[in-house]
Amino acid sequence: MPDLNLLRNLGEEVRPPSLDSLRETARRRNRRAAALTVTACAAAVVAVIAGGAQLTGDGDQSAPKPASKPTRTETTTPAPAEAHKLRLPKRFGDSAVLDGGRYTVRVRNLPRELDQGGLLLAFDMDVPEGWKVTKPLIRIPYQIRPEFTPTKASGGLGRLSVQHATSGVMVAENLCGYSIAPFHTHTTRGIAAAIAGLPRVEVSTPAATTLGGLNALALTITVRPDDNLARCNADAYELYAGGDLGASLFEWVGADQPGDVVRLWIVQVADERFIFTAETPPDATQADVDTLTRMVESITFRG
Amino acid sequence: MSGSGDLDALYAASYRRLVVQVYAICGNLADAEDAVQEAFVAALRKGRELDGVANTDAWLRRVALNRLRAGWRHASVVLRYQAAVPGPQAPVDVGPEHVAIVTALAQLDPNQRHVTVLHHLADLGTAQIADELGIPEGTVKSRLSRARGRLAELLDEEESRHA
Repeated sequence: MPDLNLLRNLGEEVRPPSLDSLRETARRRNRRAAALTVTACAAAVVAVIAGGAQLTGDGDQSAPKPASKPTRTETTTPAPAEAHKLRLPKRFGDSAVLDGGRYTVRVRNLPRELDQGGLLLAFDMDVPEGWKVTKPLIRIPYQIRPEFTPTKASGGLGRLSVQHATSGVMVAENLCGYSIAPFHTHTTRGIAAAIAGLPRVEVSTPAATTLGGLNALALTITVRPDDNLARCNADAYELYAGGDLGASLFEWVGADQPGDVVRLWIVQVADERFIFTAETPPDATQADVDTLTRMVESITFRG
Repeated sequence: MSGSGDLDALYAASYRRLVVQVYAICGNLADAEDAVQEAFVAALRKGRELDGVANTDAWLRRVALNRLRAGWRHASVVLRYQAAVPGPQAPVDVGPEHVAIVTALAQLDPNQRHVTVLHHLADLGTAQIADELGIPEGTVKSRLSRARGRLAELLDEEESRHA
């Protein structure tokens, strides 16, 4: 198509950085990865020694712990009584920085001609000052899932997102994304079981809890600190995805570093099922984890 | 392929081409450059393991698109902890004609857009696209056909708006 050829000309104006500068970036990351691995191994040894004293022969004690049940804790910024309307950016992939406060988040399927349910979910949630909301990029135009992340100004690490999983979840057979095993299930328990069966990573036993006053199941996925994700082509694991509109359109929740932690809550709201996902990289602090927990705990569903 | 000279040659031959392809898919040139640079950093870190990759162009494209998808993580982690890629080296004069095309592409079904970019910008045949995406060749052809029709409509609309 002649029109598309115009874009090729644009390539001539792009100035690549020197490959040596990318080599230097690669070297630095390798050095950091090596340092993290040594730290993780040392931490694992300390944990084994410390844990050994407590083990009394009950094998279950060494299994990954279930995700903690959300408990109501005091938020640092009291939420206003009225939730603000959350205005998503117009362009896909763009973000908008938010004032701290309570927002009404609407999860929709678009475009209208492909819409399978219009407004899928509306919930209110506390958002810390300076966090941003992003209209995801790759998943257009089917799934409009706002995701919340901290900004450089607010500090912190992590992401909170929601996946639509009414028709179940997709779980990658080998996490590297070479093959995908469709796993359709129509219950929160079935979804939890599919995710609990992920290979290579540590997954906690699904734990009964509540989210926004509704029954939910919580799990925690941890990428082992000594794992090597570089064996995957994309240096990343694909863990699970919600949605039912075709593999390339799924919104994958992934992990790209040893020590990544994904906490998720599976909940049924009316006839729809959703997964709320809180992700933290290995460098996240306890404060980062607590911030995400508070956000999840603040959720109340509308209608 | 992981030999130093091979990667130099691959970089020289592929960088701009990949940036344009990723830009056509994501609609943001700076993000596209970052993503392609990330892909080359991943290739450099893979070292000799890259020898086992049959189609390095396809591998780089996939890594770049995955990095875009994980952009939140890239931004938050790289800014604070990781060595960052250099990013765009110079502003690129993106003209209205480029914006019009990318805007039209953004309105396509993502599957159709991906196939269109692979065919018209990566110069892959329908069989190669089918192989890269793991879908039947007939599906590639039908998506291409629908995308061409829709793209023509969108670009015509754009032209008549500016006429």
